[in-house]
Amino acid sequence: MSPVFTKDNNDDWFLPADVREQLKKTFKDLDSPVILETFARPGFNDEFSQYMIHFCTDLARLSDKITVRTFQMPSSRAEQLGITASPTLCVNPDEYHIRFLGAPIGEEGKSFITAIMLASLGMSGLSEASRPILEALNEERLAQVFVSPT
Amino acid sequence: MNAIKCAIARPGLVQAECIEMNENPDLTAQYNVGSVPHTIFNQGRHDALGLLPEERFVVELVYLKSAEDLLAEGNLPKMEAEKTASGYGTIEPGEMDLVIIGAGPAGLTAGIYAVRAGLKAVVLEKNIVGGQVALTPVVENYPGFSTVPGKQLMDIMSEHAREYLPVNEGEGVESITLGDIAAGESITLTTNRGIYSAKAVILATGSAYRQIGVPGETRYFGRGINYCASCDGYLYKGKKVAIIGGGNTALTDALHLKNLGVDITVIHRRDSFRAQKPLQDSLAREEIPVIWNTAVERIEGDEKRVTNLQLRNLKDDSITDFPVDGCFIAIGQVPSTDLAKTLGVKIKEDGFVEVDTAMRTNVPHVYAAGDLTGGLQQIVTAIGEGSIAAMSAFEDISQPYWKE
Repeated sequence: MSPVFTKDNNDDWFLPADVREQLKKTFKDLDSPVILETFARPGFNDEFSQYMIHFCTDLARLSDKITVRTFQMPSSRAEQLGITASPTLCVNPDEYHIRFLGAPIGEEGKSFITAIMLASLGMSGLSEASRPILEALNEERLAQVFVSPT
Repeated sequence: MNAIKCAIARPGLVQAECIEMNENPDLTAQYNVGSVPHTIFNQGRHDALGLLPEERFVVELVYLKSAEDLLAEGNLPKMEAEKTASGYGTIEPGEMDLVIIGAGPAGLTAGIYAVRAGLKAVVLEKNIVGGQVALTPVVENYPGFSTVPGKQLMDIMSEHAREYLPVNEGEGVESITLGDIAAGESITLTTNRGIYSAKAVILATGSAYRQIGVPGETRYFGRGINYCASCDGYLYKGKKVAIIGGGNTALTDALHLKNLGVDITVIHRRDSFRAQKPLQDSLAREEIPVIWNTAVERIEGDEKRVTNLQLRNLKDDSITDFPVDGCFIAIGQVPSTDLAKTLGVKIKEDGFVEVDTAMRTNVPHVYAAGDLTGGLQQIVTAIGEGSIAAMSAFEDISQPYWKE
């Protein structure tokens, strides 16, 4: 094929152009680097795994503060982090335990982006009323929030 | 988001996981999750249904008990009530001109108009921005948008409002005290975050889902009984479900559920729908079955989930069983008049707040707009009323020259 007909770069992005523009603006405020680790077991929820990986890869292209590492399951990293669900997405797993079990579609996409921002800024975003209550905590807590893709 | 914020605040202690139900059916079944969002703490030691305001989420996370239980035990941690609200996403402390309660279309529009008229204002929302519209799968009758998901429309509206004033989610008004308005005293509002002092208040608190009021309804709420098709419809893909009602919401939801692959039947107590004709036509075209002249007598289950609806035919009183995996109830709205009542605002016979054509209630400097006032209860009337209420507040507070 002559060069005139080669596809332009737009086609290998997963996210649409207007979303990318918006995210680029948002990510300008990123501070410390964010590492996204994705885990997928082939044959389990494959379309969702693909969605998750493409989404994260795009995000990493939109900001040099974001890095993506993709892992398969089983793998030593998955075992190290105790990952069981496929797909799973971790935000800064060496720092925080913030995970998405299942691709962050719809509303959860927004939560995911906000999680990236807050993690990068080292801010919790909690109100002044909430902070002292949380200060009183001295045991481990696991909060699993079940959601649906609307 | 609440869980994520806590995980960032206490990294060694708090772990946050967002679990998409469709992709994780085993976990979903393990915790008997029926409606979303549903938060499980410490592998089932405590759980919470629905969207909680941030502070309440933190309390329940830390104490692993519901806020109601803690209150009953007298152990609810004290929140500092003396300072005016400040912090994440809130306003500077001080006197406001106007507090708008409710961030549905009425409240958001009132906010835009108030600030453009020069008032210092804030919108306070107990739950999520967008009110009921945010839960509507599709909106087709808002001029300018031939078809738009409710959430998207409300995102656009709230972004617009946020260009003008703060819109605080998860901040419900717990109490309001009127000062002596004639003497120039302000209105004091207390929320879970602090105290506001305002010259005027607009009530845009909307309405809540009406319950049928039959045995089993509350028991199985979230475990087969739902009121929001766009939130929970996905759970019933491939399952058998009934929707109760005959108005626009019931039919819109039925179509939405059918589209999701749910085996849906409409049950209505009359022999014709009051819904708008295009919806009726779509229902017929989609061949969604309807059971007419029938009401739900009781809701039965196996202790864990709903399994059956006992139906009564209202013409011949016969009772039949209708086995289902779930049931959506869309039979109308009950106006949220609690705050209005504490202010001594006049309520009409039909339960809605009484306002004049300028959205003024019988209480000076207190206005109402949107579903709370009854009438057509549409997005378009809510935004109209919101703007009028804001301008009436402006007139009463500022006494502009053209009103003398």
